[in-house]
Amino acid sequence: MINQNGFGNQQFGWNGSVQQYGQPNYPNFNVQPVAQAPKMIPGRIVKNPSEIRPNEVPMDGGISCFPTEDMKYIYVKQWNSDGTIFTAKYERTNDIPTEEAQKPSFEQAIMERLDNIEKMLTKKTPTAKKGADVNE
Amino acid sequence: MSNNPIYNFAMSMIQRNPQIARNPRAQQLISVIQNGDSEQGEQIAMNLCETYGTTKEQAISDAKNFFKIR
Repeated sequence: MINQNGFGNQQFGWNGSVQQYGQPNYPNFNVQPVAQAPKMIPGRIVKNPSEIRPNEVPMDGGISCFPTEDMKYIYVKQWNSDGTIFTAKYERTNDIPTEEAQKPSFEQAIMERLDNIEKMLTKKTPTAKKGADVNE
Repeated sequence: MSNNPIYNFAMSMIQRNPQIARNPRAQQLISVIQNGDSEQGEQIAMNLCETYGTTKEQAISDAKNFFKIR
């Protein structure tokens, strides 16, 4: 959770010490370190981006993330300084075949070349016979 | 600083609020108020109304209710 006390991760408190004459009149503050909780990104899973309300976006300049139920999109929202909300839409890309996936495998490449050689040989064979006939 | 003591008091209170002091968006709004740029201020207010899906009149009415202003 975000620290809401407005003092960062420090806690201040009066230590109750008795002031002595000749010392300046400053209060003694005890600074006690407090374990900082991990900062969470606000947001929730949504069916439709239209159901995201403006008050779900933090006004401290931070972002909030709204993944869709089908996990296809993530909407990231942030307040602009002009009072509007900026929305970024991220789309899942692992459904689209990558360049690597489109490349033929080594085996496919070899088989393709063998097929080409075979085709060339089968084409040449009848002409060779024809030539032999002429010579006879 | 303005000659209006209520304005000065309100600005002082707002600026001393640690949640506002650490908020970059709020700081930008405060600078607009301090510069007296009413046109930009109105534009921001209108954008906020539009973003929240409310009208200017409704927003003024809500603000008056919140601050208990007749």
